Amino acid sequence: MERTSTGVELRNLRRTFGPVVALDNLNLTLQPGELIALLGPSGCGKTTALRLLAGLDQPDSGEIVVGGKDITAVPASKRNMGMVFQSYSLFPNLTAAENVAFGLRVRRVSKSERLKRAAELLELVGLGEQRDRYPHAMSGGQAQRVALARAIAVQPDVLLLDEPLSALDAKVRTQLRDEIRRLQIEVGITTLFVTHDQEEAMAIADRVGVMRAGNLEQLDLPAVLYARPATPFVASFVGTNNVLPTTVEPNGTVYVLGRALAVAAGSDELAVGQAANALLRPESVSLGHRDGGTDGVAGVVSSTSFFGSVTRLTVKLDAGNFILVDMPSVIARDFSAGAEVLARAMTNEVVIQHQEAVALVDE
Amino acid sequence: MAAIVKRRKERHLFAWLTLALVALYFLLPLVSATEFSLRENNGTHGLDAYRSILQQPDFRDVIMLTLRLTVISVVLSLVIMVPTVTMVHLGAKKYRRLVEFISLQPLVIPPIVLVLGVVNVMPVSWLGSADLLGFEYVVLAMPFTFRALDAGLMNLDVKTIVDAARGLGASWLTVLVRVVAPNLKSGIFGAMFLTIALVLGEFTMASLMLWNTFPTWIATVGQSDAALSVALSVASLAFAWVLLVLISFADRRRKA
Amino acid sequence: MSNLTQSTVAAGVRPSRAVRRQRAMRRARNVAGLFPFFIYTMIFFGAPTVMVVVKAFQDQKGHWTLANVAESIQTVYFDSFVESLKLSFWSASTGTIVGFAATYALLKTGNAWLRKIVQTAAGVFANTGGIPLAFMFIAALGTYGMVTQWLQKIGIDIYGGRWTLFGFSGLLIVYLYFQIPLMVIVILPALDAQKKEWREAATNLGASTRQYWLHVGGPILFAPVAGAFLLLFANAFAAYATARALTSGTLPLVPLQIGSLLSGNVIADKANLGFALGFGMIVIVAIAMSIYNVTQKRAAKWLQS
Ligand SMILES: Nc1ncnc2c1ncn2[C@@H]1O[C@H](COP(=O)(O)OP(=O)(O)OP(=O)(O)O)[C@@H](O)[C@H]1O
Ligand SMILES: [Mg+2]
Repeated sequence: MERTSTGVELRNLRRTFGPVVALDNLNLTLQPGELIALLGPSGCGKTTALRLLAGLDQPDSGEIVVGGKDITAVPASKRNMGMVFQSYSLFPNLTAAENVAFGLRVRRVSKSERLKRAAELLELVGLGEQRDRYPHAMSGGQAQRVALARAIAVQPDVLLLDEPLSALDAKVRTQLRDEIRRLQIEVGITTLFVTHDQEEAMAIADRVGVMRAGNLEQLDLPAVLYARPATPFVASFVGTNNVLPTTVEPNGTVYVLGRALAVAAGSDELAVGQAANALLRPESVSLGHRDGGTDGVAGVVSSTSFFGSVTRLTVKLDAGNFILVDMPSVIARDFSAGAEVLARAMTNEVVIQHQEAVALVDE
Repeated sequence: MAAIVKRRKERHLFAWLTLALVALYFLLPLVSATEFSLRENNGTHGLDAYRSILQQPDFRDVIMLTLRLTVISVVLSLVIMVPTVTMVHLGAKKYRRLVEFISLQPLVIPPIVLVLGVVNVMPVSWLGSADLLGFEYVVLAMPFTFRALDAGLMNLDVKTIVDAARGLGASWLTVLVRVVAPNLKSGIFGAMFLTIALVLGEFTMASLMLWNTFPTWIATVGQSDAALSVALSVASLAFAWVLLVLISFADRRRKA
Repeated sequence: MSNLTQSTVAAGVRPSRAVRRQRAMRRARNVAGLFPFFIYTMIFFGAPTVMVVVKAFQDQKGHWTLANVAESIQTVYFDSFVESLKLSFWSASTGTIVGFAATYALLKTGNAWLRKIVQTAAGVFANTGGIPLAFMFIAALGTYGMVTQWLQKIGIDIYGGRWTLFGFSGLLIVYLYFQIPLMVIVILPALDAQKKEWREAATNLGASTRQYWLHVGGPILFAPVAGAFLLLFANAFAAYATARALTSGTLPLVPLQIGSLLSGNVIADKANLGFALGFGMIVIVAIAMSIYNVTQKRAAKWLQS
């Protein structure tokens, strides 16, 4: 399966449905062999972008360039892209193997050759045994694996995945997610992966793009996106945040949970003395017992949730508001519900927003 | 790109055009018949033909007989089918397929064949009574009554509901009246309307068993008075259609 | 819930004798509850049908014979089978095609309002037949019909040649009035179940429209369309009232032959011929139903059961 990968460029794509602007002005470049995850709230245009790239829909304006060639006017059936839909896309009248072989069949590959390829690919996605099953007799996870095998069987230039895991349960989801990534690297195929789930996006992608209202807000490495969001929208959309009211100090810092923190890049521009919201990650808060010191803001642990290695504590501050605090479970054992604590920010800088901005980002 | 958009629109246009042609085929005879029934001797239009319906000498007898058959078929249909269908949903689930199979057979055996058997197998005394026709209409309606009632019970898990009610100490009678019947209501209405529509339109058996029901009467009248028979046709169609539209509303409510 | 209890019982000890007896009694009572239905259908449906089949093989004195059946497939009776089959076939095929096209067009417009109207109207039209239907068409396409006169005004005289509403093609046109709506009713759910994703996935994998229909759309729709066709076929084959009202017996169709034998318009020694014709109709419908079963079974292997 040795082959060269293709780069993709979406330029100034715009698509409207009557009054609805699904895509405003989308620019996105995928390097050859790269996997980019597109993340964004519902209705922000992710699916539309994918369908335009696949040719299943036409843009009002803008260009799509694949491998250096403008393919905007090329019909979908000639674009050589593999697409995996959210669900229900397997042909119900064909077996798993016949589904996988479909793309080769319409390319007039000989029967023996295409069945051999289909068997190989099913093996690759771990379904060697199921090749004669019909889609209705497969689980959701199996069906999506077949869909994946079917999409890569035609050796597409680009692989497009539209929330392929959203119909699956948590365990199958992570498992299949990792498999997709393994396969993608193995085949070296340029991939655009659309998802709702930030954890999924972070885990699978080389770079993650965050979309909002038909535009790309930021495209960066997952770690960068998380640590240095380029816009307040990204800051509040990616990851969980505690929203803490504060004021901009004369020296440009803000006081958050008992500490003066520098204002991070990507914050709103705010004048000195203006009220602001600081966005503080749960893992950037430390807790100490109240009798152990005097630093930080006083509160009481109101509940704890165990997430395996990490535990999330909900703390009611004396001011009346609640904050979330993540800490390794081994440490969290010291703080049971009812414990009196002092909460303190652990970072050096923090993203701040206009106080009214928060309302914009609720999903 | 403009070409693509244009092609999309053209296909739409083609769809509407197809539908318009089909609609024309269905509306033209309807309009023609209505127009024809309104024609009067002096070349004007009016309601004369409709008025003369009521003045026909045997009109009353025909209507009485038809009503009688309707009542017999509807009541008998429900008396036979409601307990049967309830039963196959409760205790005798194994027999559901068999009952369904039998109920659907009247769709397979043409009425003309059935009536051939009926007039030869039934005792002469029975053949002398129009009620036999009503009994046969119960059979002809069976595919529809079964489906309507079956669908009504299919939607809810009757077994669980009945078990629950029995668990709360309700007697069988209470269960039937309080639990099953209300849930069957729309199914019962659907079955009733379909049976009525069937009786009001059935010609084959009525004419060959020599009973003067509404449909056979229209045929007889037609031999002497064209405008009258067309008026009768239009009136009977309108009536049947109102019934059928009501059924489709009952259906929709059930689905909702 | 009942499954649960059953499996617990199966896994555990055999139920006690008293419990078993109680169950057997309940089962007997349930079956007994179905008796009225069985008896009723036996008397008013089973007996007449069996009667037709038996008498088809007897002469008037009750001796077994094949003469009736032999005669029923000869001369004018053979012709009437041919004519009936032809009419059923053509009205079913035309109804299938036009009904399919109309349904497809309906879904293509994506108009929910129109869809409701068409659905209701189809239910209404599919149940129209007999005398009223015949008169409607006489009023439209009869010698003095409204449409006939309109066409005359623009220079088309449909009665100029040998065509008549009361012949084969006239009957075909009239039958479509209930065949097309029946097709719409039957095929709408099947077309509804077609997923947009199938088409898009096929396009995405490089299939042309033709290839999609050849490999996916066609095979998926084959069973429902074939089933609908056979239903329409049986529907037209059994139709008596409409044919009787329009042709008044000029067209030899099996139901009309049976009708006239039954109303005694024919010499007495042919009385049992009617049964043979009825038997022939049953055989033909049975063949259609067997084909129906075969087509549905073929689809069943990939259909969700
Ligand atoms: N065929 C269409 N007709 C009309 N509006 C559409 C159509 N397709 C998409 N839209 C609108 O365009 C916008 C973007 O839709 P899109 O499907 O791209 O969102 P998305 O980001 O994929 O959302 P989700 O995460 O919910 O799948 C939405 O407001 C949607 O309602
Ligand atoms: Mg989407």
